[in-house]
Amino acid sequence: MMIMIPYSSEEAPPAPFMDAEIRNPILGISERMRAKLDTGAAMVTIPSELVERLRLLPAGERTFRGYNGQATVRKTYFVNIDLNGYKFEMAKVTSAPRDNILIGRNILNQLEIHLDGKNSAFEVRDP
Amino acid sequence: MSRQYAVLDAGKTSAGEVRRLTISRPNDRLLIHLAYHTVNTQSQGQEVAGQSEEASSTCTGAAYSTGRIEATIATSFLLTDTVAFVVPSHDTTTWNVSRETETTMFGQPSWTSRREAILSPSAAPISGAFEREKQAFLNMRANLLSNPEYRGKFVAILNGEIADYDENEAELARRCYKKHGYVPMYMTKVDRTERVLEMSSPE
Repeated sequence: MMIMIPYSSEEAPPAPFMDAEIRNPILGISERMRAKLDTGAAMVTIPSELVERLRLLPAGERTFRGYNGQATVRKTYFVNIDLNGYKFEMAKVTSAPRDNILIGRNILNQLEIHLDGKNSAFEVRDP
Repeated sequence: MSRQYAVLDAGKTSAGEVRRLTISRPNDRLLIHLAYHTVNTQSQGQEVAGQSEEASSTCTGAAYSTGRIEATIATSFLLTDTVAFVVPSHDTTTWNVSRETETTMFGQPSWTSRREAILSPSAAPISGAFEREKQAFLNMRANLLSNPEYRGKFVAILNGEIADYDENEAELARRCYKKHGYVPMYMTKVDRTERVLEMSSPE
């Protein structure tokens, strides 16, 4: 399976976004949201409000260091993720007060992604 | 597992999906004491019936399930006061409370349903349960590190004890939720050091 997706202009400069469905793996509650690919993030980050709406229960904690060097301890959750048809079950995510999802390297490293910035598009393959 | 309950206050509201909760009893004040409940992953998507308990003489019992709660419909009723519900603390359900009223349409009695409130349990009890499991892990961490059976593996702590362990954290979570239900647990790797993760790129 291979898909080509144009960069999204919802951010300037344009950025690689995918359509994500995040699902509570046990209760089955799900929500669709835009997700930005972020190779600078080690783990998928979802909006804090989504944790409440999906009724996710914390399953652990990890220490994260932001780009400014500040370390914070954040709870982690297990979710099922559907990214434009690519499915990941029991993926570990954390949360932060933000509006969209960040797809971090725990998911990105399971895909083959070619960023073509000159043509404002990227290609995703499941190797 | 010990039973801990959270009281849902009618003043709290929460956006998002709600479950249907229909109450109708001939009382002017209603307090429902729900039975212990966990989501049964074996019957996910189906209603899992539970038991109800009366909390006082003015209380009414009601059948409790993951899908809805419904009391026996009486011939007439009045609900004028704040409705409070007591539910298990780890039940993260957001409840939709509907009040049914009897009206007359074309000379015939008719029932209409009106949404009264959306109740959302406090996250505090869930957080409390999680912190207890975390503390239990910290208390046993040194012993676990010295035990080759656990060292380097992921463990799940529930009720202050090791519920299960595995080399694969996702498999561990899947198995634990299937066996114990969707309840707060503390899952972590038994390791001497913790790797700090990058949060995100600057925006």
